[in-house]
Amino acid sequence: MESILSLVLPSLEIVVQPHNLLILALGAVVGLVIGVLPGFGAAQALALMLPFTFGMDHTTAVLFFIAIYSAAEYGGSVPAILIRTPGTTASAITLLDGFPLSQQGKAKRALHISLWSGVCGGIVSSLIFLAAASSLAWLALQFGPGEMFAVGVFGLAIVTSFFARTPLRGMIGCGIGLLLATVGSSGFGGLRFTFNQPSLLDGIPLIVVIIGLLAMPEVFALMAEKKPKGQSKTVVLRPSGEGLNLSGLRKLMPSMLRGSLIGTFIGAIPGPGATVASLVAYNEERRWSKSSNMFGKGAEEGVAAPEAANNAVVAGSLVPTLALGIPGSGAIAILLGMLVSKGVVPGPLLFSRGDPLIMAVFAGLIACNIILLVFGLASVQVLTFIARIPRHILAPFVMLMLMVGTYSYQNYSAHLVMVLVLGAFAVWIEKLGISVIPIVLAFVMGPIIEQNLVRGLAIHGGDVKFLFASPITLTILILAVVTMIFGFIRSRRDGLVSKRQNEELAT
Amino acid sequence: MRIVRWKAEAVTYALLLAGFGYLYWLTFSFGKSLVRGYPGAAFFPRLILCFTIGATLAALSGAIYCGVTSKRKAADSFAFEGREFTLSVLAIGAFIALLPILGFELTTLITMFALLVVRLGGWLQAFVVAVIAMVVCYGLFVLMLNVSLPLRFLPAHVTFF
Repeated sequence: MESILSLVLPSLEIVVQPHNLLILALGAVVGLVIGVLPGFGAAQALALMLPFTFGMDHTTAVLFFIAIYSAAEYGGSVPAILIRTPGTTASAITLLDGFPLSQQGKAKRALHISLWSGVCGGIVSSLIFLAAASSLAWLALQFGPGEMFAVGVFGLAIVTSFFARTPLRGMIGCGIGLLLATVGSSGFGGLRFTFNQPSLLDGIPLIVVIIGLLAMPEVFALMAEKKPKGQSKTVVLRPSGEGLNLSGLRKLMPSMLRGSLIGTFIGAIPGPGATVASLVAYNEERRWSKSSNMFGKGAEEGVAAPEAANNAVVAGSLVPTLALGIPGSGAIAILLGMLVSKGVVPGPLLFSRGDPLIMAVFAGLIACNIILLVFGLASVQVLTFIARIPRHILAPFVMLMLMVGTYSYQNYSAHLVMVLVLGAFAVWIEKLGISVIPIVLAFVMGPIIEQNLVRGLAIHGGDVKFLFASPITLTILILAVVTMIFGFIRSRRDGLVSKRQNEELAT
Repeated sequence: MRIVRWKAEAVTYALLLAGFGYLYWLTFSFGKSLVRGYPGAAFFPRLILCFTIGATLAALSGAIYCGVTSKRKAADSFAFEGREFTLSVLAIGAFIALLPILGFELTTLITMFALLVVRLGGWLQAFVVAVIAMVVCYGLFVLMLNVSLPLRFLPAHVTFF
């Protein structure tokens, strides 16, 4: 208890500084506004705001990012409830009961349930993490170069198996990401894949890869949006009716807590993310509920559980990211990229050193959820207005923001060209079913894997047997192989199911 | 336009394979190891390339197999907005090319006006919004974040808020 307090108190001092509270509030507003726009999720919000962190110190930047991330996850539920258009994929589950509630004239209540549940999820998962941090610090001390290499390989196995439509496509994506990461100096002397271009001597910056692969496809999608002919047929329900009172909140608390626990657990596993967490929480809630027949027709628990899980994922997914350097999702990869660009190396050492940054992240998450609650309750009408902005109008503004943002990283025009090329490439490969997430995640993990492998080889005189000498390394490598095999089996099974369904449809 | 999936996949994988092959050939020109135990700059890229070439070959075989079997049934296809995609690439490309020549102000104004006029309908409305977007961007990035954008005339008129 004492050790937890000794870690938490210095971090609280950081979070309650006026400029950090202001940054958290600003992040919450930005996240809410971007998250409310249909089609924009946390990853896009973070990619858009990345340039604004260049002038911040790493703690302030992390606080800004976690506030955006949490607020965007909640913001996605507003259009899901009011206009039947989920702002994020995870919000699609909220839509199942949120929109029927709005149709029944309980839109304000549905929005309040979503907000309170999200805040509950964020706070509960942060508290769980705060309690578990000292154990992670102990685990961190057991890790050397061999173990870190194995963790990186395990991360790639997860990314390959679960982030792509098939493991084969995931492997190609990972390969491309790892190759992009090798461009420039090898770190031990010698240049690689620079093609005599001065712009490639320092490699491709992570910021450029993130904006190019994660944000640019959205710009292309927005550019392709057409102006709707005639009057828009989108039905926008007004946030009317009564809000959520204390007795209603008490009644929904068990659902919120169940959703929070599910979200924290699933978030801590790299791969599944907020969508799976929301889906599992919804299914579990339906199983627990005495009135399961109401699900899909406006059950309040059907909004509370997935929304709590959705926001609990944020703290959960920060665990593998900060402890092992394995980002669990595209949004987290951006956060990781931002940390790396500021000279912070995520991994076990962060925990073993007792860096106040770690605790500040989770104390900040709690503070930002409280701020989010205040803003969320006050801004329902404004958010409804923002949700109605037509997507096709946003294209030029998003494009301008990304271009100027990329340029501002190092004032270098070549980075704009890289962003354009990567963006166009991302659009094409996504059409072919190769997800860009494995490319980004492999790009982030590539240097970690290479540096630890090379360091281990140099220590052991080039003998690769060091990888199999430690039981931890061996266990993690076996887990990586099992994950890959499971990924292939799952993909084969899914393929057979979809083939059978197609045949049934044809007959 | 609609594109037959297996053909698109096969062409893409074949191009990727050719690219990976070229990169593998390039690794032979990388620096040799000077430190005992260090396997050299080419070691890790070769490891990745072997793994990726294997996966791409398997994916290419799968795409061709799909093509052979799909002759008996309707081939799977996907929509690709080629015209919109090309226009977007050209618009962004023009912004990048014009930025160092015309400066941030005129480049932003021209690009934003061109993109907004088709979306908002009226040219006056588009012009006003383009000017506002340019000034807001200038205020945000140059005045607040100290980014040194290639500016031509704004600093002479707007230096602080």
